[in-house]
Order: sequence, then structure tokens, then C-alpha cells
Amino acid sequence: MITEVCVGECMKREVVTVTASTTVEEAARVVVQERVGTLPVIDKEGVLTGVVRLQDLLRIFMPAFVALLDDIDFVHDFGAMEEVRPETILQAAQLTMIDLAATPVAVEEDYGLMHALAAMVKHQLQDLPVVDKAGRLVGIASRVDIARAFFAPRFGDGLSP
Amino acid sequence: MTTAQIVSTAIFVVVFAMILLDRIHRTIVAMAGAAVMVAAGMLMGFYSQEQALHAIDFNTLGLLLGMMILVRILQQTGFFQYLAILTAKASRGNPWFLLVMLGTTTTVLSLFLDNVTTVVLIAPVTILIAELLGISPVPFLIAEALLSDTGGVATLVGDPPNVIIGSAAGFTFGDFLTHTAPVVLVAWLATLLLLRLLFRSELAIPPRNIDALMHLDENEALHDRASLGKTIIVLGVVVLLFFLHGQLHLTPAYIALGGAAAALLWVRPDVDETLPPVEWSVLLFFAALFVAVGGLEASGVLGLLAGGVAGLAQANLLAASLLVLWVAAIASAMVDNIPFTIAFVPVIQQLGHLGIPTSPLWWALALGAGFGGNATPIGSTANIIVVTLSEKTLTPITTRTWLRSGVPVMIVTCIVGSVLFALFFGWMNTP
Repeated sequence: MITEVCVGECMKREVVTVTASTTVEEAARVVVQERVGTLPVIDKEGVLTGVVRLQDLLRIFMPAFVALLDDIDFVHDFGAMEEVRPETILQAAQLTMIDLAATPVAVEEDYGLMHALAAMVKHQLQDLPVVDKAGRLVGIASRVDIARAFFAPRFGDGLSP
Repeated sequence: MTTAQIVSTAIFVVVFAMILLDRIHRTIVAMAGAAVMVAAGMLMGFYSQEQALHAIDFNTLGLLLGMMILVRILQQTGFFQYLAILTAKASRGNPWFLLVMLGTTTTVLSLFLDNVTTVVLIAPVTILIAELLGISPVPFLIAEALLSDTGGVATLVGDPPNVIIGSAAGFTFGDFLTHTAPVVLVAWLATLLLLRLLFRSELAIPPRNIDALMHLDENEALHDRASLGKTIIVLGVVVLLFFLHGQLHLTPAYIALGGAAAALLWVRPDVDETLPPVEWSVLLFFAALFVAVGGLEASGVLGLLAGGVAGLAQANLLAASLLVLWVAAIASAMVDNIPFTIAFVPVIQQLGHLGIPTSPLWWALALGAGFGGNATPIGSTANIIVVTLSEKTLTPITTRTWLRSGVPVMIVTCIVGSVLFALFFGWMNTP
């Protein structure tokens, strides 16, 4: 029987984080400069308190009808919504990460890969924060990190971490 | 007053106050109130379980349920989006014409369909169109709610208070068309002109991108033409039968539920998708309120109230009717017009038992409850929905914004209603 590695063995330990008071503009800069799509929100003790995804930042600038209509496929020309709208920038300026952060879904270092995959699929996550017993952020595993470790024992050595 | 009357009044006042405070969902409040009313009635001997069951007006519930199912089947075809886009394009992006077109579409639909559902489906498309044009959706959303609330008073099925009044008074679809509809037509036109005046500065802002609206293809918004055709045919037959139900001795509930059965059989939608979104909480709220008000009636409180106003009604029926119209309007502005109507119906029935002609009182109640709901954001369910949807945009409708247009509309429509009512009082005194 081949045993799988655990999440702690395939995660990254260098994590780009933000705090509850980080502004939308600062968060946007972090996303672009660090090329990350998930921003864990941590407090002074390093405890994971929330997660902000790139799509949460983008949604501030999205037209309201996108969320309100079940079907938007018939809208081909977004008209005035294609412009840079000053009112959305003003709206974004009033928000910090505490307004955008969702309750975090996280796993612990010793969790198995299947457990981590299940959490990712179930909650439709791109990246999975990893915490210790005290809830402090210790790492983050992307979908590709987990997939690489998951496929290695199944499809061979070229995939090893 | 007897102890039973004091207890039943106390229960009802608490229920009404809690609905007004809106801290606990109104369906939960009404169900708890109904349970307590029946318990008190059994303990004190003024209200039995059988009486409570009989207090529920199943004609009202059946009509609403049947229409909800039909609307739900129609909604799944994309028809409402289709119609909103088609009519909006006819405005060619002129804001005032757009308001007239969307307001008229919402009103015409809500003459035959529940206006809450109509607004729920038209408002998101309205926000889409305003965003594509680069203008504020606020005047359009408020106009749709105010015009459809006003327009709904014209028909038996146009808004829930009319359903309740029609069922209690035995008025037919045709009776509404010959009594409330002409008054509503004048009041509706007055509302439209008033909206133009109130929103003149907003409507003067030119849209930034008219092409995007004209590029919308209404046909792409239709998902299922075959089902649409079938549902429209069924709805057509249902509306035709509404016109004839008095002569055919069919209850509106039977027509609506029969129509729902026919549409379900013919269209065969997925039942698990079609039936759960029916507003069961609204139907339960109605049933529970009927039970609670039934207790009030059984204890004799509503008889006392009727006795109190009987003197005025006997001395001057016109004055009593106008009083009912304005009291109903003011009460409907403060609470949803449905609980008020359910509570007031037995009072008019008691007056009928005292030998007073009730027809003008029923029509006054219909006009007052319908027009009064316009004043405040909480006056009607359609208003609440429009405000909630606007909160998801960058221009939420505040209570202040609403009152600025709602109060003038309520006052003007009630004045129009009162004047026409007084002028044609002889006619209103017939069923």
C-alpha cells in the first residue's frame, strides 16, 4: 500500500498576507506584484481570520446586474459598464479587507491530501491556507501544489514534488 | 368588553405590532399569533379549532397559489426579460420614454399576475438596462413599484388585498373592471405625470451609451419558446375565464388552480424546480393571519368595532366610505396592506349584518389599501423588493428618496380616488 504525503509536505511556507485594515488599493498592488490570487487575512498573533480572493476585489467594480440576473449570456455589449467608473473607485476606497474577507476554510499540516482536495472542491478554492493547532497561518497550498503531490504516486516520478 | 375580547385584542395587537417592528419574520409572528389565539380561544371558550379552520379563506389562498405556479412556469421561459428588453428598446434610450415603457409593461403584467413577482422579475432587467446606458436605475425602479401597485388595484387578481376583498364580498373580475379600473386609470396617469415632475432632473441626464441597449437581443433572453407558447395559451384561457367566472359560477381559486394544473400537465416542467420557489411563506402568513383575525371576530371585538362605525355609516354612507379609504391608505402606508385588509374585512362583513349597504365600503377599502401602500418603502411587498434590489447597486434607494416620490403619489392617487368615488357614488353603491 502506498501512503500519500500530507498537506504540510507540499505546501509553500512563504505566504503573502494582508491584515483586516489593508485597503482595496493596497491589496490590488499585492496581488499584481506578488502574482497571487488568494490573500489570507491574519491578525497580530498570525492567526488566520479570513480569506480575500482576487474575485472579491474585482467584484467591487462589476455591474450590479451580473449578480442579479440568472442569465447574462444575452448581454454582448456592456455599454457604459466598459468605462472606468469613478464611482466604483470611490466605493472601493471605502472598503478594507475586513469588509471583503470570507470566513476562512483551512486545513492543518498533518491532514491527508484527499482531505485537502475535498475541502478545495467543496468550497471551490484556488488556494488552501494551512494553520497550526492554534489557528496560526503556517503555509498555503495551491491547487497545483496539491495536484502534483496527488498525481505523483499514481502517474510516476516526473510529477514528484 | 368581556375578558375574552380583551385577551383576543391583546394577542392581535401584539401580533400586529411585531409585524410592524419587523424584528422577527412576519410569517413566524403570524403563525405563533394564530397558535396562541386558538389556544386562548379554547381555554376561554370563544374560539374553537374548527372555527379557526373555517376562518381561513381558501379561495384567496387557492387563487394566489395557482397564479404563483403559473408565473413560475412563465418565468422559466425567460418571458419577463424578453418583454422588458423589447419594450425598453422601443424607448431608443430616451430616459422618460424608458420610464413610460418599463412602467407600463410592469403595470400591464401586474394587472393579471401578482405584482410582487412581476417586480421581482422586471427590476433586475431594469438595473441591467440602466447600467448599460450609464444612468441611475432609481427613478425606473421606484416608478415600476408605484405604477404596478397603483395599476394592480384595477383587477380582482391585480394585488392580494383585491383577492381578499373580492372573495369576502363576492365581487367578480368584471365588478372590479367596472368599479376600480376606471378610477385606477385616472390615478395611474396622474402617477405617471407626477413621476415625470418629481424625477425631472434625473430624467434629464442623457444616457452615455444607447448602442448597448439597442444591441440587446430580446430573442436570446428567451430560453424555451415551446413552453412559452403553451403557458401563454393557458394564461389566456385563465384570464378569459376570470372575465366570465361570475356567469359560469366558477371560483377564481378553481380557475387559477385548474390553470396551474393544465400548464403543469402540458409544459411538464421539473416539479422540484417549479414548485419550491412558490412563496409558501406568504401563503402561510395569510392563512395564519386569517386564523388570528378569526379569533378576534369570534370574541366579538370586530362586532364592537363595527357597531362603533355603524352610526356614521347609517347617517352618511359616503362619508363613512371616504373615511375607510383614507384610514386604509394611511394604515397601509405604515404596515403592509395585506394584514390590514385581512383585519378589516370582517368589520365590513359585520356592518353588512347590521343592514348597511357594504358595496361602497368594499370599493373604498380596495382603493385605500392599494393606493396607500405607495407612500413608504414598507407599504407594499413590491416596494420592499425594489429597495432591497437597489441596495445591491451603487445607488441604493433610501427611505428619504422613497418618501420624496411615494408620499406625493399616495396623496394624489387618494385624492383622485376620493373625488371620483364621490362623483360616482351611486355607481359605487352597486356591486
